[in-house]
Amino acid sequence: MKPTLAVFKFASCDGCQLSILDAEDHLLAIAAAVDIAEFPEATTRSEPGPYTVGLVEGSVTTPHDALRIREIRDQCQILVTIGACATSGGIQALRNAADVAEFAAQVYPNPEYLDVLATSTAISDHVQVDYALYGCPVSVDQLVDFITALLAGRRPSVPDYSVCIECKRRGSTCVLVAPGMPCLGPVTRAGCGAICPAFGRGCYGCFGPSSRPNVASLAVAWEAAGATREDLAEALRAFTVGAPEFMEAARAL
Amino acid sequence: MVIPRSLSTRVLEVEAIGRLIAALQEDGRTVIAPTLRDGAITLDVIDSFADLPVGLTAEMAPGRYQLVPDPEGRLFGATVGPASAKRWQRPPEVVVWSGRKDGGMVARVPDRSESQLAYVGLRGCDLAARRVLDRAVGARPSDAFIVAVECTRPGSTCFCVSMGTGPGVSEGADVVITEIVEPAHVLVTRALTPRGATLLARLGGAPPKGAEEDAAWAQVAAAARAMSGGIDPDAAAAALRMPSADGWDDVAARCLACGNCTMVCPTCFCTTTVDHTTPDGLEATRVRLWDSCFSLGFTELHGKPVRASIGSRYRQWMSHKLSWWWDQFGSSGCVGCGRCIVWCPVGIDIRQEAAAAVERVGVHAK
Repeated sequence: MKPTLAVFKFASCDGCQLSILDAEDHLLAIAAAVDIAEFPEATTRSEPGPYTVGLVEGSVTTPHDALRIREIRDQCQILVTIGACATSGGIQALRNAADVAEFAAQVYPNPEYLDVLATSTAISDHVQVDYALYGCPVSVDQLVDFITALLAGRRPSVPDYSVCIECKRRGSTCVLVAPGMPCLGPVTRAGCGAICPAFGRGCYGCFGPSSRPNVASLAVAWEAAGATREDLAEALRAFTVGAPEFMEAARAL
Repeated sequence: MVIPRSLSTRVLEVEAIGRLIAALQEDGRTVIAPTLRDGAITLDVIDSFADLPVGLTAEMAPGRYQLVPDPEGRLFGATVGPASAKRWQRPPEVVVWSGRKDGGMVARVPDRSESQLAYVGLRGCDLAARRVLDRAVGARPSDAFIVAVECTRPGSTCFCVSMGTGPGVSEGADVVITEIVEPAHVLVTRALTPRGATLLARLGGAPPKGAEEDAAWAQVAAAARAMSGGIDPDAAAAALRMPSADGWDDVAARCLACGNCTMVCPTCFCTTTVDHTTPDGLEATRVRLWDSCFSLGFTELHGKPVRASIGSRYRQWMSHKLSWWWDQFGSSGCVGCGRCIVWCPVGIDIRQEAAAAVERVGVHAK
């Protein structure tokens, strides 16, 4: 029997699910190798569990979702979080350091109909997660490689090192050193292939913190590049603001 | 510093480099030379003379790199850029083997392609790095054709003199060029190998009249004198093998552990291996990628990192490079090119860190 694959959506923009569909060339081969039981962005089909692999997109922002993720965990042999929302709470975790009621009042005419939590949290804050794929959105190549690793029974390769490693492998010139442009690469986890520096832009930190990043020292390099510590704090308060390393570093700046 | 003069010394006009590039290409070689790429003068594949960064040089400082015009209009005005010959000698990503399951597994081991390359513009430090790297990974020297350039204007981050690798070149290349602008802008060129002499014979040029050759020697010697400081290799090697792990907090506070230093280092050779398979499970590919001892995951043994602190990782890198490398490979792992200093985003200077380590343990050269 083929392994079953289920994709679940929590608070998110669906971009990571779209990344799965972006796998184009590999999609048919993957669909042939697994039985896709649930995938809201692609199909209305919804088969009951249990599932071999569950890919979870999005963060937990409502009491209902906090319960739903527990049920999903029970149904999945291997639970994998995909993307910045699922791994760190996403851009919506900006509310964690603010008042969600105030936000809601500005957006909705009748905020009393909302039933939301005060925070947006990573899936791993609620249940045990077996693997995490980072990024906003996730890397298609990494996702395909991850699925094929599970199918082959080998250990998936998810880097913990900085974007700089991929940037240098690619042969890009360091934008932080020449010409001196703010870049989050030295504290950001690799996985994107260092796209932005390859096009002369600083890294935006989409993949969240690399392992034990030294943000305090990066602030010195940003100042040398003409940016302020507040600029760095603002840059960290983005897609992965909910990652403790970035949240705390931004607060300390 | 005594460098044997070659009998085949020729003085070439600057444009002869175009003919040199063409001659190497006629021999079936891909030419790698300094060229302007992404806002830096760095080694890459070039097509012709027009790709050389004529009249452009770079000012380098710890964590800073800036292109500036070279009023003297030299071809090889800039010393070393972010890329070294390591990019081709031990490429960042290599398929080690791949195979198909059906019909028996067929492994394809890629050839070492560097032998079809010609480098134009490698410096003394680069040549030393090629030897060090080959020894470290157990590779035989490749058949790449090498046209080296002697440095006459070292950067502020250069310290080849203290590591004994430059600025003059006496081995490791087929042809050596010294570009001078006085008394005239010419290339004083000599061959170190028979095939280098053959190449030079195809380019013409005149025997030196004396003044040019003297100017070349004088400028290289002046470059050597201009490079003060650097690293005391013996003292650093001795200090860094002291068992104390204290004293690394200062550099640890600055170090980003991003790995840039190891990526630009022309001798850092650490790699990781990743496997890829197709969804149908019939094809597998094993890829070798540049890795860095600065990443936490690299230090994992039995699932836990053995060098959890950034200070311990910096200490590991520097003590391997400057001390244990001698025991392992019979030389220093540092050639004094200064790339790690320039391309460290926070400008950590290995010269200063080595001096600090020497100071801490009170080891001084005799």
